[in-house]
Amino acid sequence: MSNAIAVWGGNEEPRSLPSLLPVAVNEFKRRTVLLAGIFMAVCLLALLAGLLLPKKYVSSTTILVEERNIIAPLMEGRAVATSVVDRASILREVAFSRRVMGEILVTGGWMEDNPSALEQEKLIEKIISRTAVSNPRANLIEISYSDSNAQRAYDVTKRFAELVIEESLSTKERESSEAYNFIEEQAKQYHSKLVLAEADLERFRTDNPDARPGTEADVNARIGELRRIVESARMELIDLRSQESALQSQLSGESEVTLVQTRASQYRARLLELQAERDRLLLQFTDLHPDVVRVQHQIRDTEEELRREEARPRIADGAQVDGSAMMNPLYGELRSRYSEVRRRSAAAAARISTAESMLAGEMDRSGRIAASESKLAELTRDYEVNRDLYQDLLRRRENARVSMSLDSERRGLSFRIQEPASMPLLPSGLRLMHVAVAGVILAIATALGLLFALVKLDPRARSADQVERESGLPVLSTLPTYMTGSVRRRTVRRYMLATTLFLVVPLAYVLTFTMKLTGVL
Amino acid sequence: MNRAIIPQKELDQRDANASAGKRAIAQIETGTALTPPQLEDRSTIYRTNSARREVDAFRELRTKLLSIADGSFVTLVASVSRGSGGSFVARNLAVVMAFDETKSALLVDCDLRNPIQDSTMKLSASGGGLVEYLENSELKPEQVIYDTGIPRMQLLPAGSSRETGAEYFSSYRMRLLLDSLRSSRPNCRLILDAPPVRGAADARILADLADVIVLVAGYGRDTPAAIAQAAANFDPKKFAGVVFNEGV
Repeated sequence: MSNAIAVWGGNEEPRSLPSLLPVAVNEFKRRTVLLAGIFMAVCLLALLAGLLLPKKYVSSTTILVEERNIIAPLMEGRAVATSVVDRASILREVAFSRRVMGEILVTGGWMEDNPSALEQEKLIEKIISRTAVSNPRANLIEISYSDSNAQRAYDVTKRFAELVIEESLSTKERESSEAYNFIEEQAKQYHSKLVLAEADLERFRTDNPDARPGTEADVNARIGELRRIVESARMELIDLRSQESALQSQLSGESEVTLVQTRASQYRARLLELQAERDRLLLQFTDLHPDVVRVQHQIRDTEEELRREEARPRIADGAQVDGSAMMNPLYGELRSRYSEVRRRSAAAAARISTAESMLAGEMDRSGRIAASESKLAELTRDYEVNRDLYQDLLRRRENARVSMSLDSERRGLSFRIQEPASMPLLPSGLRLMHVAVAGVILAIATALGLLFALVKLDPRARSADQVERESGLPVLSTLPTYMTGSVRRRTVRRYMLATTLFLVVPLAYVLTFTMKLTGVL
Repeated sequence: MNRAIIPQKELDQRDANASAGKRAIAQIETGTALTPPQLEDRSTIYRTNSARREVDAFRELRTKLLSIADGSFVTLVASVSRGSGGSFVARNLAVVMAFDETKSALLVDCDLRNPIQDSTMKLSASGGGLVEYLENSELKPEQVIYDTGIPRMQLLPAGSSRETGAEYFSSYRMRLLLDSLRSSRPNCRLILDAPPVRGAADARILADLADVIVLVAGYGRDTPAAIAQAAANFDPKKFAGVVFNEGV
């Protein structure tokens, strides 16, 4: 027996789609009524769901935010215009604010039932979830609202646009006046700060006369000059000192009185001259040359003269000698120059000492200036910073004032309803048609899906081939249904029932749409 | 006395008059032929001039069986599970065997738990059936064999129903019955309508008595594995094959 099992052991193979198809067709024939019933049930359910589906009306409006108007170019750089992106975000926040929503509740007629605060809150949440604020392009803002009531959808959307524009403008106005106030306050603060800084600087300057810009440079120049004077005076003094010592040494080597030559010496000199003359002549001439003879004579005369002179008695006192002794002129000269040098050296020394005392004074002053300089710099910086900021704030305040007046006159930001809300005539979203078509598709899918699932998942043998292949047993014969009269009648009845069930669907659909078109539903 | 197939109420009347001991032996060639609507009503095929798929299918089955065995052989027809149409196949196999005018067929309803052959063929098994024959040793086989109204085909009904037939089928008398039928009717083919293989051992016990075994698998009734398992109960030498019945 076990052997037999091994022989006939089924070789399990997954059933492929082509082999499934005839089986599925066969199964479809056997279960027509069930499948038609499922088809009909799903279709009718879908139709019912489509009929019960709440209608949804969408109304939308587009607001154009005008970026450019006549004011903008005129006010370029003066008034700050809020950017478009800011506007969109402002709108979004503004649209769902409590105030706007309160107005919307009144507009939509929800307040007629006097809902409690909690109910109002819930209503508001519902309205918000049905409202979409978007900006499809940079300066377009679209508000769309959906409702089950067309009239209410229209009213609410229209009111939304109005409220949003109104609120945005007032928000903008409030914002710019707040900005102006803030800048104004800041300007005031800086003004008082600037006044204080000015007073501080004034007081300090009064207390420190030296503390003036540029004083330090003056003092430095003065110090440099004085230093130069001292240096040059010192050099001069050294120079004069050396001159003085040189003159002193010259003076000591010179006699006060010079001894001038006697007459004899004059003769001797004359004699020497003549001898030199004779020697020169003798180079050219003989002793007999008249010139030489005359020179010889002169020499003898001179010698004679000399002898006589020497023979004369001599008087001892030189001074009385005529012209032979006199005062030394060089000595005198040196003496005068020496005294001159000494005078000048004394003057230089005096100059040095004066300059040095002045230098000390200037140095002292320079120190004082350095001490006050940092304080002055601090005060000046404070003052300058405050002044700059104050001036800047003043300018800004004026800008803000212009912006504020722009907004208060509603010229800065302009909203225009580009596309007004319209009364929705046709409901949008899933309509009966869509649901019905989806229902038919779903019904077919369900019926066929069930059929294929049955064929695919049910392992029981549904064809002779399958038995032969999977159980490994020989199939002798395949017996078709024995079509006896009663079986045939039953089959016909089954098909008729299935057809009836199937035909219910188009009938119901046509009926529904006809009623819908004629306005019964 | 010939026992032809007759409407139920007439039969009842006649039974009321007839005595139990006067059971006539059914003559093979006799009997009033049933009309096609009557045969259809009995879920039985019949010969026609035009080709009919179900008749052809049974002819094919007969041909295959005859190629396996010859002479007066015993065919066991067992379904895998109840509702697979085992009785329908057995009955019509007997009918198609009897198409051959030189042969006859005897259908033995061995499904003791759920015997339907006699009621389907609208016969009143007033003289008892297989159970009565096996229980009562005085009865002769001819007394429990009835004409069906179909030429050359007779029925041995199950008789009163029993929970299980195991002890009856393994009895000596059962074997004797089959042997005597086979020897007394050389041109008669015996068809045993066995109960379903799954759930009872009857089919297996009957298989020992049969020469050829045919397993009936109904459309969408059993998995191929279950069919293979059912087939494994039988002797591979006797097992002819599976008949796939789409008409369930």
